[in-house]
Amino acid sequence: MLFSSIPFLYYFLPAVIICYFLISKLVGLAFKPMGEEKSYRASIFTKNLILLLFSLLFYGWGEPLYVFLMIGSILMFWLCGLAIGMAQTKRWKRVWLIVSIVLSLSVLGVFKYADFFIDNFNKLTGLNVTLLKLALPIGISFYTFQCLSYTIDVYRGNVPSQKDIVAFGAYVTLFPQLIAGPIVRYIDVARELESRTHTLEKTYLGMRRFLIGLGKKIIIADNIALMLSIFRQSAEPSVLFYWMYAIGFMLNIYFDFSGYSDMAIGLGKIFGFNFIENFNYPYMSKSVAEFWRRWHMSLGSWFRDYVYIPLGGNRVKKLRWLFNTFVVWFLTGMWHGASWNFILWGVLYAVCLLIEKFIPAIGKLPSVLRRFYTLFVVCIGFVLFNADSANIDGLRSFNPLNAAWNDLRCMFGFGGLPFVNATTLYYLRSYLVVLVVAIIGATPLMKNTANRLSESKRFGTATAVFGFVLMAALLLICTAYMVDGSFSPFLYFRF
Amino acid sequence: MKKKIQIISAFLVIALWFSLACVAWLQPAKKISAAERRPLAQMPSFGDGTEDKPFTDLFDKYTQDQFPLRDTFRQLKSLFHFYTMQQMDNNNYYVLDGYVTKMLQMGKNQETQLLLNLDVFNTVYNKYVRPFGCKSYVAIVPDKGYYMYEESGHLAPDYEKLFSLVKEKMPWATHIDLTELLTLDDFYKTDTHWRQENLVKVAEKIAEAMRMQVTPLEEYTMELIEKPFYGVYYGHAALPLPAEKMYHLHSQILDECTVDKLEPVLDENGKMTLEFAWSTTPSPIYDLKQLDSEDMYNSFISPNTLGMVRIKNPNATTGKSLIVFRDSFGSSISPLLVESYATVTLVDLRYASSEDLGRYLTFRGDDVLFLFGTQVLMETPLN
Repeated sequence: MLFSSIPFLYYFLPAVIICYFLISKLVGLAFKPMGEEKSYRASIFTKNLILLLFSLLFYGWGEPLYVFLMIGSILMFWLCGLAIGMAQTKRWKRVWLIVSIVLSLSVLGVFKYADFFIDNFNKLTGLNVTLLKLALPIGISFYTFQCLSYTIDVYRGNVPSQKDIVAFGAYVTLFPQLIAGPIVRYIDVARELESRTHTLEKTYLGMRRFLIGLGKKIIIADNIALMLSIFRQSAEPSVLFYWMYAIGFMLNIYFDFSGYSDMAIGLGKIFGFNFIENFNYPYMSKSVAEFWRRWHMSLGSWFRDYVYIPLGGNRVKKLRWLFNTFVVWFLTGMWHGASWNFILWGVLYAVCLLIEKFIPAIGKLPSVLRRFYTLFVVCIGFVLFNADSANIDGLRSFNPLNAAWNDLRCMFGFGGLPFVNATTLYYLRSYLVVLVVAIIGATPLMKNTANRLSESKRFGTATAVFGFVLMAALLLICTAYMVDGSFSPFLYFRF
Repeated sequence: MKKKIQIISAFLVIALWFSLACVAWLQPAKKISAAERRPLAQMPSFGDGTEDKPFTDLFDKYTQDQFPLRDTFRQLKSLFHFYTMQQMDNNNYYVLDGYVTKMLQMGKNQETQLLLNLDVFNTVYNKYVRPFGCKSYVAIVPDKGYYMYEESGHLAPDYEKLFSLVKEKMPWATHIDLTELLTLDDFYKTDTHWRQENLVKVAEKIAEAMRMQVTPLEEYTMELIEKPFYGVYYGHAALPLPAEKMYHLHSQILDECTVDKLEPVLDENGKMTLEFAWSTTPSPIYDLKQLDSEDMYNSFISPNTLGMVRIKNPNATTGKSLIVFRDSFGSSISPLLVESYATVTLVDLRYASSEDLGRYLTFRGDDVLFLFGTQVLMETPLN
């Protein structure tokens, strides 16, 4: 089920909110004669149970069969967490940790990577091993990493194991972030699973964040996605159209992904959870290193804490550090997709990070140049990342690396295309406002302006009123787009 | 104060959201969208889902189709799209001076379809027209975009290429050029079609090429249809456009013509057989029942499901027949061509198959006219 859909916004979400607050309140009242503590526990248990059940419904809406895989994952990680917590020796703790890692990565490997390896094996050996052709369970990369963060943190002693399977299940399946992140670590929500508060201010802030995210997704990201689709189907591309595509995709993926993260964070707030931020205006970065401190922060920090640092990080010899860096970025690329273009995308960043490390003079360039260089690298990287989009006929023989190479050649004028044509000018004119709004929105300008006005004595009240008008307008306009029937799947669903 | 406003805002937005949700849950489902001229999805049951279209997809479609104030929300989106986001088209529809059209483009698929359709015409010519010595004519009706795109700056097909392909592939027909004769004013603002009351000049040009006669404009009376007309593009564009007036032309000859349609033959139990025959109960030239239907334009001669309709003119001065291979543009102009013909047969190759024509038509030296719009030629497979 998509957040940006009528069934979610007008059927599922009102139902879960009504059940969550009303039923838990009634249960709390029913347990009140047994004391405040028991009443509160009962209320929290009910809330977690409602979240778990509705989240399973949410997940099953798109993947009815894979709900059982999800339930299996919950059971497996919960039992492993318990076993790690109860183990008397470090050795047995490690055994159960390894069990959880091997089992979960095996499942991930089979569903996501098996065909990639089989296909490459066939190409290398000339054999014809049959592909498994398993449909990828939605969000499997997200929830696998979330669960791994749980068993690893329990192993490290950072957090006690969760004995309540309902609370644990609610954490794993929590629908606001189940299929598209942010990757929420158990340690960040452990306390909130046991005890959380709801205030009107939190509800307001959560709603505001959700609606802003919805607007980013529907009004900006989906609009630009239409332009990208038109580009891919156009019989009359040009060099400029290729650049519109490349820059458009940078904006599309940012607003799509950050919009979804905003919605997840906003919904989390409504239900009493404080999820970590996932984006911090990444296109303001002055280096690739900074970019990855601002883009998909939950993934970057996951790899840092659970792969890079355990491998030794940068506190090792140079050769080992190079190895660590390449492993992390190879895995980052692979996490995004079972395809060579994703792996190359990851490796590209490894190379750039190492270049920045080994050539400190880059850091001394004027900030304009550094921003330009960063945006250029990111742009090229995303052309590689999105090479699959060229396969409009869904051919099995499609080679994303060839497609990416063709895209890059055409961008730089080596594709035999005119610089501009009537079709390109038409679509530039048509999408100019959306692109400009997106570029401005990708900077902190609007947020900083809103904050300054909000805090000022003169405009504070007017800003608050404008905030309401904006929220209502976003709800109505986004509903209008959804009713008009533009299908808008989230880009990161395939991960 | 700011906090108070925030809390009130939260309440108001939640109230708005929950109100829409309640109406969405509780309002009875509508069957048809008058604006979009299509049936609306109904609530599916679990067993309705298939592998290609699971229950969840059907439910998604139902919630979109049945959302409260659907037409208003579609209008809101269209207005926001055009005026706030300044986009040139909305789902490929655009407006110029109140005229709405679909932005057509002649890509590879459209060119392939055009060539395939021209092949169908060649099949008809080789199988039915040439062997019987019929004279053949072709008139291509440009879509509204032809008269709009240069001023509006929208994309358009390569019309020059389109018309030259038609000429190239149909060398056996006399080509009647309508492009200079028509203007944007000759079309409905909110519909694909042209206005019948402006078509006498077109009928005269076609008749001139065929060396036949048609009723001059001054001999027609215009009947204003009381019900306001909203064309097919009104729903597609989803903009607050005013209704239009529709007129039917009448003349003594036209009013005495009758229409019959090719229909399935029923057996003694009233069940359809595989045989077809011309209906025995003729109808008047205009189907007034269609004025209450989803598409008022169907009040001009519209195809039945078998795609063959025949106009009989009891006042014809000759025994000649005209066969018009046409799309819906032919519905409103064909009545204006009847004066010199005893029979005008309309064949819509979107429904009728060119292979079966010999079973129901005779081509004994008749005049044959191919009258199609550019959009159908590029986008619709003919049989």
